[in-house]
Amino acid sequence: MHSHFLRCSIPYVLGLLVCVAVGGKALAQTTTGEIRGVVTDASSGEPLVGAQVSIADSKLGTTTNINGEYTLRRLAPGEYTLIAKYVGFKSLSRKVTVVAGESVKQDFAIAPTAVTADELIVTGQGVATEKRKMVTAVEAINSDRIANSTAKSLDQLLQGNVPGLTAYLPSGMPGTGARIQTRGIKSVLGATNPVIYVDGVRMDNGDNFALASGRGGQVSSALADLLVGDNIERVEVIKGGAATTLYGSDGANGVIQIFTKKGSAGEAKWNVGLITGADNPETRWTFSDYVRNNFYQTGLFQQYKGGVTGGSEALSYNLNGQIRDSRGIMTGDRLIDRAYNVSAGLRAIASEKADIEVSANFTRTQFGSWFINNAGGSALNTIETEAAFEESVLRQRGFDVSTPQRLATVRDSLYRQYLVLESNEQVTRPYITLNFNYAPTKSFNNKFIVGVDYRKNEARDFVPINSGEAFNANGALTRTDREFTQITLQYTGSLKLPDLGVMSNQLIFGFQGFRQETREFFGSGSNFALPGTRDFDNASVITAGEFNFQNFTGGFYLSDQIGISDRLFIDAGVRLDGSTAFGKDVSYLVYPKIGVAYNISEEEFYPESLRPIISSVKLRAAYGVAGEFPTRLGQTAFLRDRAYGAQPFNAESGITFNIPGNTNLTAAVTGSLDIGTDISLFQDRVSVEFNYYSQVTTGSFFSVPEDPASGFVTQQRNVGRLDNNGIELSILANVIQSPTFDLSLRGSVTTLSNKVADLGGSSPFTVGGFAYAPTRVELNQPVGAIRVNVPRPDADGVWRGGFDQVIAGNPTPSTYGSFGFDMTLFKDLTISAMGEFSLGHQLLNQWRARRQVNVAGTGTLVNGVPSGRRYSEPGNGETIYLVYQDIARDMIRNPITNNLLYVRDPASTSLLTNADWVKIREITVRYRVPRSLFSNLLGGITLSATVRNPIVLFSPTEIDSESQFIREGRALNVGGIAGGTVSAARQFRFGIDINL
Amino acid sequence: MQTAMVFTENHQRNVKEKVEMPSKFLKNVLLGTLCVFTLLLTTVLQGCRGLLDPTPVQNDQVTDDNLRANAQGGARPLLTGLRLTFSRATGSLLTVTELVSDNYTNVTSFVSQLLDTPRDITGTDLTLSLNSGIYVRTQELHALADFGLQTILPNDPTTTNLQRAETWFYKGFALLLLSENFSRFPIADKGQPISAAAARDTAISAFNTALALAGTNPPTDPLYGNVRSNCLLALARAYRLQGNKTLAAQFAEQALAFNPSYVFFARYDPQNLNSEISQHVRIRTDNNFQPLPRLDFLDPKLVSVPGSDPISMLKTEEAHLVLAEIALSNNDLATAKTRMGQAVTLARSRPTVQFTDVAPNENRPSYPIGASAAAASVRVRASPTAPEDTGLIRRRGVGSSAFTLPTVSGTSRTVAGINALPNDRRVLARELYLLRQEIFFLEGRRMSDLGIRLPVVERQTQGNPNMPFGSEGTLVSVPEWIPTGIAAMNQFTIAGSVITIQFDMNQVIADNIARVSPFSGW
Repeated sequence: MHSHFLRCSIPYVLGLLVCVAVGGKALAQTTTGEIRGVVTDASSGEPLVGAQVSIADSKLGTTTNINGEYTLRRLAPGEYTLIAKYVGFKSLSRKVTVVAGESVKQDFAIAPTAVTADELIVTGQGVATEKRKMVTAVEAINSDRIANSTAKSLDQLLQGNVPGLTAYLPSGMPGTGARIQTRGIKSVLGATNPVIYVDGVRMDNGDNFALASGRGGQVSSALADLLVGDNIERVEVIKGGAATTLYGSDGANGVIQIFTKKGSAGEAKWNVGLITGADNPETRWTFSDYVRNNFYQTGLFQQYKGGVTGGSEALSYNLNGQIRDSRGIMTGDRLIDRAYNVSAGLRAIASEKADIEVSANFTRTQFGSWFINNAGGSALNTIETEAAFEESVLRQRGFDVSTPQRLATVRDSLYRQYLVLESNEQVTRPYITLNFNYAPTKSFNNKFIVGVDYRKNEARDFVPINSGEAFNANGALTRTDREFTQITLQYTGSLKLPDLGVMSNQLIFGFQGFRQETREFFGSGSNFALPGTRDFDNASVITAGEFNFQNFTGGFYLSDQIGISDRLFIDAGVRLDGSTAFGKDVSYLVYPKIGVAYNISEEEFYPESLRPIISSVKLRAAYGVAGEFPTRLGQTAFLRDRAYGAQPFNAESGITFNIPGNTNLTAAVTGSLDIGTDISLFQDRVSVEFNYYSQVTTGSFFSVPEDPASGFVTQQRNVGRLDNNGIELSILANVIQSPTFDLSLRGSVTTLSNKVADLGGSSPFTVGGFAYAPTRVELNQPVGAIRVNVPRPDADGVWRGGFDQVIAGNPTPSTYGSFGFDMTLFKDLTISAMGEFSLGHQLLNQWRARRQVNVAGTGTLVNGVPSGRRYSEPGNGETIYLVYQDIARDMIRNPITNNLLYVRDPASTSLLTNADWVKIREITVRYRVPRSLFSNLLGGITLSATVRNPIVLFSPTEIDSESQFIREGRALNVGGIAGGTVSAARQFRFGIDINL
Repeated sequence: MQTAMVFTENHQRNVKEKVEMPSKFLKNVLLGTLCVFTLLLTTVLQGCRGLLDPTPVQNDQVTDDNLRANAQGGARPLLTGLRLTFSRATGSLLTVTELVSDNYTNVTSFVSQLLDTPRDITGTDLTLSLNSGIYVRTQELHALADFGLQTILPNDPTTTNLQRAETWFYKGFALLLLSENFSRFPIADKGQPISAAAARDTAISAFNTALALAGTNPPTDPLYGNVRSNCLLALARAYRLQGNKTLAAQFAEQALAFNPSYVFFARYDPQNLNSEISQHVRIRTDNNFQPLPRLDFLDPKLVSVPGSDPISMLKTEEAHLVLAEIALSNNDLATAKTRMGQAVTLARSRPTVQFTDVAPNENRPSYPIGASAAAASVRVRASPTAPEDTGLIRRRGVGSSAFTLPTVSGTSRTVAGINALPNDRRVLARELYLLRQEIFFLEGRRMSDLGIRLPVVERQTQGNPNMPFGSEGTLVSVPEWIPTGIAAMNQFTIAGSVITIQFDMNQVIADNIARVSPFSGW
């Protein structure tokens, strides 16, 4: 078996090596000429650094240097078409004739534009396609915006930069990844995160691993260690729908593709960066001053990075490394966040027909974690909702709190007991991608991709013995390991058929296969007798568990792109997808798609008088089908088979019912209709993108409750229909363009209407929440609609505990978007800001529910002073509420005991909160130091100052409504419930970037 | 260069490249690489078994296939599964039924407050409809027993009759619990609902089957009891519900003859059964269950922290009480008194512990009285017209000392007291049900004795089209003799050191005995 593998792979590996080695010599060296020139900004005359100049239909190209100069050497004599490109500018092409032994000059002056029609998009089409030909909307984030952003990881980079996509952070703890959603919730199964590729290789995008249990809902995420930095060339985002047909299953949530830099020909350019700053906690929602002053700290931040890029005509490279460390926003540096990262991108041109791109990345992160919400031993919980540090409660317990000093001493000594918890995580994540492009003829292009993503996450929570009253005195240790491996194998081919008159035709076909393996081990030990231990060996009670999951998904696709007169484009395709997600037998599904794009402004009949105002209009419409297999569900991947569980009981193992099984289970299928237009106004100064989208998911997965008489609880079924529709509108405007001052504004708004359109014969049921306020699947309501109990008084008008159940809340925002501006003064100073908003949704304030529970405590007289939480005279006397008086005021008297009635359950409507929020995400100032100041010794210096999460403009007062982190088990987080957590910190960053 | 020219002619017109082509060797290497890559792909695509097939995946769950393939020894995990499911079922039984009855009031806790007012209980009740609630757990027990009887046991060649007997016993007991607490329900997945009486009769035949299989003298398991005793007591209980005096008496006598002081416990595993709602009864931390003051001396019965005491589910006191009830229904007052006296004697002989209740978290109106040194002198009247009883309130709270607490059975009555009662059938009926209330305290019996039947949970009405909401069994059934008003059965007033309970439910039962007792002849 081994020898067979070796025999197969040796020629392949050898072949690649030979290609690389020989490639450099592939071009003749004697009778050649060269082209050189300068690329400048047509409006200002300034040279453009890093502009791309390439030869059409060839792999050859280069980028401009610090002076805007480029050189293309060793070209055989002949005529070439050169294209100059730069982000934010209109591409320009020129024909150049090369003469042997001579150097031809060709300069380019390119004009800025807000329109990106010439941009090449890879995602959704399989091969690079001009944006003007795309039949669906696609968003791209370019390296400029990436370089200017302080975002640590991909999910934070997406915030506010992709119209129509939301990436909300459930908490500010390190290791947390955002919940990424596009166009609503299509199924209640698994996460809404889109599929993520790096250089064509699929990445781990999961979160909510087993580590969350016992921590009150704090989860770590694979998104948090998908670091972004100087190694990223661009990010393309497709929000689901027709374009994701080529990505098959799981494409319904959208696709994000990251492309890394591979360098370009030129002398080696070194760059070094140093960033320092501080993380300041956001405490506007903190209830208790003691927590505000003692739980939080402002932590220092430092980051060091460096890189080099360059290359020859045959081989170019881009190497980056960075180290970053934040001390975190919790006292004692308990929430540190540290990352080490090295990445390399290489491109070897074997010939003008073939090239190989390799990217490799290694990330190691180490971060601290903490118990939040209502986890046992959570200081937040005890102090913020149990009134444990209130003076009256401490007095009831017998502590001397007669003076402020005594009160502080008692509180400090109790608080210290909560700090003994050690909670740490570490992630090791290497990935490697290999792209081999081979174009034997100009019209036939092949791309082979192979790659691996490996992620190992280790977490450890430890409570030493004798920790005081906060934790179990006997100590506890929990460890979890999660190992994730994903192998991608992909082939894409494109064949440009000969033109038939005005009709051009391109066939795209390919194959993708992914194999995913996940292994999680968790173990816990409790009852340690001796101090100083950190191993399970020394525990008296050891429990362990494991979870294994393997899945293979593969598919073929075929797509035809027809262009008529290079103005009207029709795109039709089909994908055949299979997966082992349900069991050993691979189930197959067919996903078709069709779309049309019409650049109507390029037609002759387009009125010229309109052109100065509306410079170009593209209309587009597309329909496609994508599916979803249950690949990310927590425990139960094999859902067709009936399965039993084993439960320990008194030292024996007993059989219990687990999964009823459903042989009819199949993928959930989403059909998307996208209709939209891309318009550019005022001579490409303003670009407007408008979409209407309608996504209908049929057979979406729900955990449908079973008949109790069967002994089972729930079973995954394909039930009913979910509708998501709305509009997306985004505008980018270069408002002012002058040599000294540039201002561009951007904004986007998306509306979403999410509805369970059909229950498919199943009764409405609960998907999350609590017994007193569940989130429900109900007909004609949004997924996860919140059902609350509204008090109903008796006939005499007195309320005695009766209530009506009412659907009253929508957890998904109905309107959301982003806004921002970029301002450049004197070409050297840039100021930008960006913010996001989310409106039209509600949530349950579970934190308040905890206070409602805990206002109902006991009270006694201590030295004649009422102490405790609630004090009443014996024999039906009046009740005095000693803590949380504003909540107590809402309570109702219990007519039996003349005390307050437990109101959380019958009046859970009091927990429904308007969740609308508006936040400024980032304000940045960048200054490019004029080169005259350091007399050209260095390539360039840029100074930057950034604040991330500076201001919350609008938000509920009691709780951070962006968090909404509480989930049901390990399934989808529908949102709609927020508890006590640590919000995202205000991050100050000051940096220097030096190009050597 | 010939090869090169051929190559260039195929290029498009505007790029006349005369670049020197790579040598033939390199071209072949490239083509070879392409071939190898295609080979790799095709083997993957064809799913060719062996090295390059990416599709094999493994289901780590226990499936039907696994059970069939490894059937030997399957009886043992089945029994363990039945025992643990039984413990779960009984745990939730306690929390709900004790609150619904007059035994306990829910003062302020996470458990549904509507349980104190039975007529307000619906299938969507927060505590009732939990997946760990009584209805779901009892159905689970029954389904597991059926699964064992139909699938596991027949395939396991090492199964013994004793194991079969125990499985039948649990099947019967699940049906018995369902029939005592619910009025109509299905007992098969999507099956037709049957009446409680029909379920009870099925339970009886299950017990009889178990009895036959267990043999005349089966061994006693130190934790899980003796199957024969269990069946005998269960049959006495079930035949009582059927109103069958002959058979109820017969099995009661047999149970006493076989083992006169037997108790069958539902065991608890603190490590593995700690997410059940029975915690609220077992672990008295943040919840507040107020017992009826007249029963204060029996509270809390399950004393250990973190709550690993077993619950007695069947005991021979019941045999005495069944025989007493039969005698009473036959107007044989002397035998009734004797039998009740025997029940009292047995109850008083059961284990006790010395218990100190100093936790200040108990929020009960009687607590202020109970907290004082004068607790011993507090008197309780069972109703506004009843005489004052002493010795029923125990001193609790800071400064209190240990008192004797029964953990299996306890009663305030004495043999002499019973013998001194007038020969009035109604008075004796009250006494009988008072004894049942005290002896079966915190065992989930009182609600059924009162005649209240719970509705099935929301998931049952939604999961089975044969049982739509509104049909019989889906609504709570509260007899007319249960007083109306919020938590009426739990109402009491305190004046000085006298606690007066508003309704003496045992008297109410005695006044309606012909409709409450399953036996005829009243």
